[in-house]
Amino acid sequence: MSDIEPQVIDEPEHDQDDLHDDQTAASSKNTFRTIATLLGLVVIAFWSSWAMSDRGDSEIQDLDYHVDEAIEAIYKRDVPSVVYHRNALRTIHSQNESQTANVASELFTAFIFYNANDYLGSNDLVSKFDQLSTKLITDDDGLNSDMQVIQKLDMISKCIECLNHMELQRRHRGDAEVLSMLPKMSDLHQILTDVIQTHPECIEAHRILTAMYSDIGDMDGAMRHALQVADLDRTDSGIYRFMGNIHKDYEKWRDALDNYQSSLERSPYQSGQDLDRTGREEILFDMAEIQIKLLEFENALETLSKIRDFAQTYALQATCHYNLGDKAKAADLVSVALSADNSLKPALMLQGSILVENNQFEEAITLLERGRELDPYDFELVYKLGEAHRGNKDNDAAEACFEESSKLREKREAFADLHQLAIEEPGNSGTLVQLGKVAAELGKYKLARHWCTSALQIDSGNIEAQQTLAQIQQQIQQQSVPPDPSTDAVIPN
Amino acid sequence: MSLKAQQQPNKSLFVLAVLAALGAAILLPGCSGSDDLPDLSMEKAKKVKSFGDSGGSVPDVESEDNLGSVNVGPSVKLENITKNTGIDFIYRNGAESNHASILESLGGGVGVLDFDLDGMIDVFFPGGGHYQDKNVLGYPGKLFRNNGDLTFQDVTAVTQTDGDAMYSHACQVGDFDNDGFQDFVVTGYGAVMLYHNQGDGTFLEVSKDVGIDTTSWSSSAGWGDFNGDSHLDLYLCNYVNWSFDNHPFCEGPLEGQIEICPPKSFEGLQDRIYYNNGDGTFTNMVEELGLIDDGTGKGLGVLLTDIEPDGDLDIYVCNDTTRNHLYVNDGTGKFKENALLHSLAFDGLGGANGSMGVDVADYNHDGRPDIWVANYEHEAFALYENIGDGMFLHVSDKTGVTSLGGVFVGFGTVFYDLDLDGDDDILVTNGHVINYPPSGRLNQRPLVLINENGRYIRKRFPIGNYISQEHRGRGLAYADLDQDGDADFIFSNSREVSAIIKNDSANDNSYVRIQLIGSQSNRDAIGAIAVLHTSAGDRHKYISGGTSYLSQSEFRLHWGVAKGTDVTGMTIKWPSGLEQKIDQVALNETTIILEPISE
Repeated sequence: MSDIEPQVIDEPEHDQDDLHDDQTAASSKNTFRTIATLLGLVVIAFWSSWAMSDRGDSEIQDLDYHVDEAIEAIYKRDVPSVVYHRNALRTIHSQNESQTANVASELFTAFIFYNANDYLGSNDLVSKFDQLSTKLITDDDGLNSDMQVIQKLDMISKCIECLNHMELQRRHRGDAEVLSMLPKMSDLHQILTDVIQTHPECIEAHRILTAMYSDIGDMDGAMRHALQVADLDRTDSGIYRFMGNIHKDYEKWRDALDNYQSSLERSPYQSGQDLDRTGREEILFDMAEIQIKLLEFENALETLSKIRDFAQTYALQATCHYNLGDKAKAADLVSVALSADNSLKPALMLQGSILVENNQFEEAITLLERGRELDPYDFELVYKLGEAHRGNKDNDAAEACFEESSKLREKREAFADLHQLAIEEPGNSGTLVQLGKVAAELGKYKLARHWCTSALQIDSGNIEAQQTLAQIQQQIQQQSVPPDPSTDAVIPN
Repeated sequence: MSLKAQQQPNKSLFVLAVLAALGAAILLPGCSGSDDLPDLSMEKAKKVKSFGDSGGSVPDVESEDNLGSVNVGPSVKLENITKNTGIDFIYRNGAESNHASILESLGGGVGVLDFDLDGMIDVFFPGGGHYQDKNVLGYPGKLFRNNGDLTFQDVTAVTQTDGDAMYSHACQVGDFDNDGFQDFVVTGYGAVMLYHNQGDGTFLEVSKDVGIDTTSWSSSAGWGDFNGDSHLDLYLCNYVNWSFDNHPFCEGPLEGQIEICPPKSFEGLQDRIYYNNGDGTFTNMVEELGLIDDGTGKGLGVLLTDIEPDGDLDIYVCNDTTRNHLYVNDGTGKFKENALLHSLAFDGLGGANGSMGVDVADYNHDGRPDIWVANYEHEAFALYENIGDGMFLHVSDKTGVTSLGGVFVGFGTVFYDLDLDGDDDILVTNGHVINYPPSGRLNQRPLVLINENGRYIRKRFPIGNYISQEHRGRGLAYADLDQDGDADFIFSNSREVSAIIKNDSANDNSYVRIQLIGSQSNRDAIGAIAVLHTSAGDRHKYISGGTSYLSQSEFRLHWGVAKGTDVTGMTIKWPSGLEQKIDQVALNETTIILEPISE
C-alpha cells in the first residue's frame, strides 16, 4: 500500500448560488449540444439511408440505367464500373427474372474477359449473348419494352467482337495460318460500319475503326473516325494524342503539335507509357522534338523547360543551344546527356558534329561508330561518320559512308512514298506488302511484320505477304540482326 | 470529474456529426463537382477535310517576333523607290488559266548590264508566259535603260529584245564574243533566246543560229570559261519533264481546288552545256561531258566558280528535292560529278533539300570560297564552309542560319557587304511556290542577314519598309544603279510589281570597288579571284557565273572597309592564270583594271 495518499485538490470556493447557476448554464449548453449532435446524426443517417436506398432501389430496378452506365464505362475503359453495373444487372435478373438483364450481364462479362486478355473466352460470351438476345427478339410479343436496350447491347456486342478479333490478329501477326482463320478486316469493317449507321454515337465503333484504318495505312479513314471520337467525347485526351502520333509519323508537324496541345488541354496530367516519365512529359517531349524539326529552337527550349531533367531532355536542349549559338552550353549539356545514356542518338549526332568541327576526327569516328552499331540504318549518323572519315583523310571510307547513307536515305524516302501511296490507295494489300519489305530493309522488323499482317487482313491469300512475313519472322527469330530501335509507327493503344 | 471533462465528449460528437454531414453532402451523388467542361474548340478539328490536307497552325508571320531579332540600325538603309523609277514590270505566269501547272511556280529573274556602255547599269526582266488552251506561250521581256538619275526608260522595242518565243524565266548576262558589249541569254520552256548585243543599241536573237538549240525546259543558267580558251561557255539548268501530256492532277486542301504538283511528281531533266567555239557558235557538249542523266537533275540554281581553288571553273547545280550536283573541273574542261564526297550534295544530315538560289563568298575570311544555298520551307538554308581542297562542311547550325526557322521558301539570294564592315552579309527574297501552302504563307518577307563575326543575324526593318513586307519573291540581283558607290537591289516577284530598292546606307566605313576587264581571259573576267590585302587580313572576292536564282548581278567586285582598317594592296588571279599585284588601291571609287597582256 502506498504511503502516499491521494491528493485532494480543493475546489476553489464558490458561492453556492453561483455554483448552482454555473452548473445550470453548463448543463443547458451540454444538453443543447447533445440534442444538436443527435439531430445531426439522425439527419445524416436518414439522408444517407434515403439516398442509398433511393439509389439502391432505383439502381437495382433501373435496367436502362445500368446498361447505359456500363456502356459508358466501356467507352472510358473503366473496368471496375463495368463490373459494378454487371453485378447490379445480375441482381436485377435474380430478383426479377429479367432476361434482358441476364443477356446484358453476359455481354458485359464478355468485355471484362476482353480486358483480361481472354479474347476467346470473351468471344464465347459474345456468341452466348447473340443466342440469348436473338431468342429474346424472337420471343418478343411487342410488349417487351427492353428492345431498345437489346439494340444498344447488340451494338456493343459487335464492338467487343471486333476488339477481340483485332487483338487476336495482333497477337498472331506472325502466323499466317492463324490469321487466315480469323475474320477478314473487311468483314470487321462492315460490321462496324453497320453499327455506325444505326448508332452514329457509338464511340467505341469509331475508335475501333480509327485503329483499323490506321493499321492498314489509310490515314484519311483513321482521322475521319478519330475526329468523330473527339467530337463525341470532348474530354478524351487520348484520341488527340493518337492523332498527334499519326501526324508525327507522317511528318505533318504542325498538325501534330496542335493535336498534342489539345491532348494536354483535355488532360494535363495523363499517365504515360514510359515508367520514368509522365504522359504529360512524353507529350511535351514529342512536341519539343517536332519544334526542333521545325527549327523553332526557342520554342523547343520553352517546352523542354517543362520536363524533368532526363538524359534525352539534355540532349535536345543541347541541340537547341547549339543552333542558337551557345556552343559552350551545348557542349556541356551533350556531355551530361551522354554520360547518363551513351546511346542517345541526338546526343551522339551533336557530339559527333562538334568533334568534326573541332577537327577531332578520330574521336568523332569512335563515337559515331558506336552510334552505328546501335542503329546501322540511321542515314544521318552514317553521313556524319563519312564527314569524320573525310576529315581524317580517309576518302575511301568517307565515300563508302556517303554512299551507304545515300542508299539508306533513298529507302527511307521510298518508305515515305509508299506511306503516301497507302493513304491514296487505301486497302491496297500490294502497297502494304511493299511497305513491309522496305521497312525490313530499314531494320524496322516489327513495323515490317505489322504491314505484312495488315496486308493479310485485307487479302488473306496474298502469297507475297505470306512469304515476306515468314522471312521477317525468321529474321526476328534468328536474332542475328541488330535490335529494332523503332517502335511500331501506327499501332494505336 | 471536472466540468471540462464532462463537456468534451459532447462537443466532440457534435463536431463529428457536422463533419460527417458535410462529408456526406460532398460525397453523395448529385454533388460531384463542376459539370463545366472546358470550352474545347472543335473548329480546328472540323476544318480538316482529309489527312493529306490538314493545315495545322500557320506561323504568325505578322507578329513582331517574326520580323527579325534585332533592329537593323542606321548603317543599313534600304528604300523602295520603284514608283519613281519608271520601272513598272510584273512577271506573269499564266496562273489565271487555272491549270495549276508546275511551270507557274518558277517565276522570273532579273539581269543587269550596261548594254549601251554609257556607264549606267540597265535592267532586263524576262516576261514570263501564259497559255492558250494547251499551248504554252511567252510574254516578251522588258529592257529598261538607266537614264542616270534613277529613272529608267522602257527600250524593249527599240533594242529588239521583245522576243516572246517561249515562256521565259532567267536572264544571264555574259559577253560571249568578247567584243565588249554584254550579251544575255534568256531561259525558258522549250527554248532559250540568246540576245547578241550588236553594239549599236540593238540586239539580235541568235540562239538557233549559233547552235543553242535546246527544246528542254531551262531554269537558271551561267556563263563561264570551262576549258580555259577565254571564251564564255554556257551552262543551262533544266528542270522537270512537265508538259500538258504529263500534267497530273493534285488536289488542293478544299473540294474543287487544284494545287500545283510537287517536283517529286516528275522526272528531272538532264542539264545542257554548250562550249563556245570562239567563232560565235556553240557546241552541245552534254554527251561528251557526261552530265548526270538519271532523273535526279531538277536544276533551279547554278554557280560557276573555282571551289578548290585550282584555277579552273567548277559547276555547282542546285536541284529541287534531289541531291545537288558538283561537277569538278579537271582543268581541261572535263568534269566529274562528286558532290557527295565534297559534302555539297545534301544538308548536314545527309538529306536532300529543295535548293533554289545560290551564291559564293568567303564568309569567314579563311581565303576559301564558301557556298550559300536558299532552300525550301522546313529546311534550313545551307551555308557550306570550304574546309580546303574543295571539301565542305554544312555549318548552318553554328552560324545561326538554322535558327532562322523553317518558314521561308528562299529564291534569289546574294552576298553583299551592306554595312561595309568588311564581311559578307546576305539578302534573300522569299515566296511560296504552291497555291495553298498548308503550313506557310504564299507571300513572305525577304531576309537581310548581317554577318557578325561569322554568325548571321536576321535584321528587323521598320514597318512599311519593303523588307518588312511580304512578297512572292523570286529573282534578286544587285547593281549600283545610281553610281553612288554602293549596290542597289532589284527584286523580281511573281505576279507582283518588281521592286527597285535603293541602298542609302551610310556610315564611317569605306569601300573598294573594281571592274575587271579580261584580255587573255574572257572579257567579263568570270572566274577571277581578287584578294584585297588589309590590316585586318586578306579579303577574297569571286567573279562567278550563274549565282542567285534566274538572275544576274553586276560583275564589279565590292569590298567594305571598316573604319580604321588599312588597305595595303590587291592581288588578282585572272582566269587565264595570270596573277596581277596592285599596290595602290583607291578607296571610295571604282577602279577599272585591265588584264595585262603577258608577253
